[in-house]
Amino acid sequence: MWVYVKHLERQVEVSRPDLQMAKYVFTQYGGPDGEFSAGWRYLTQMFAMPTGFAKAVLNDIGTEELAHLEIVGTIIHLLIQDASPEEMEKAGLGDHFAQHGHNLWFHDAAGVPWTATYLQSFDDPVTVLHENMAAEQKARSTYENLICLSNDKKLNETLSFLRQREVVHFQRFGETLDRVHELYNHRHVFYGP
Amino acid sequence: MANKPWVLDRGRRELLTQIHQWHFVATELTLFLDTHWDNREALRDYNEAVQRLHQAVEEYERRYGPLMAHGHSPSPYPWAWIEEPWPWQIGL
Repeated sequence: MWVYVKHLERQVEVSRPDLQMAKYVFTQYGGPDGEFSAGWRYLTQMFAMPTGFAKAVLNDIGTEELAHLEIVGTIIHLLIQDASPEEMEKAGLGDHFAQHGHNLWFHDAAGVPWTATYLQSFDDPVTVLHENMAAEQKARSTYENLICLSNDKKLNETLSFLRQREVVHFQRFGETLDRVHELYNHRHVFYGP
Repeated sequence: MANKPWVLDRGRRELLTQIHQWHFVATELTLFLDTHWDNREALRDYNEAVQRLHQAVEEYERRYGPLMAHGHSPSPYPWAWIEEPWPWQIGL
């Protein structure tokens, strides 16, 4: 089960409403490499992990991703909550406003709705851990692009925090993969020192 | 329809920041220990972070209300869990 704690993982601040940035940040809410994808990818894959530590890594990182989903939701909420329909339309969020008003929905920066086909789940831990390492890198790249697009220092502090968590998660998944290979006594070498 | 963010008083803000900090240390060390389960130094730091987090949460809940439903504190009357601000309403 899960327990909700009534505070964000990290406080979110933005300097000003910014609909253009909100449109871009939507991809980390409901895009292919966003936090929703990440969280439910890991929390679904964890059932077939072969050993206690691997189950823990998938569960704990998946749980942290849900906290990141809340942070990204808060960013978008703060950026768009006071916008007029005309301002939404001008920023390319007219379609979003028609269907969801000022509230959140799972779609990417171009408005493409979230789909379960963004994810994969196997009972082979080597396969899923490679997918997860790739997922963390894709999310890191996305946050770097968002930071390039934003000139709001406060927003960028939060985006940088989320970017850094992708780096840490990548590291933990890599260690998990190494230990799973040890567990199975694999001798494959996939990468050099 | 201006939605002004809730501005917390200084004491509450500082306590919340402490909770964020210890919560983050505990989260980070949880992930680290998942793949380094025999690291005594990390385990010691984890246990300290959790203790400090609980202290900060206990003080926050006593002064400002629950951070978890059926969590660490009994609820005053009326039911305090529903009180605003919720996390996404807070401005610093």
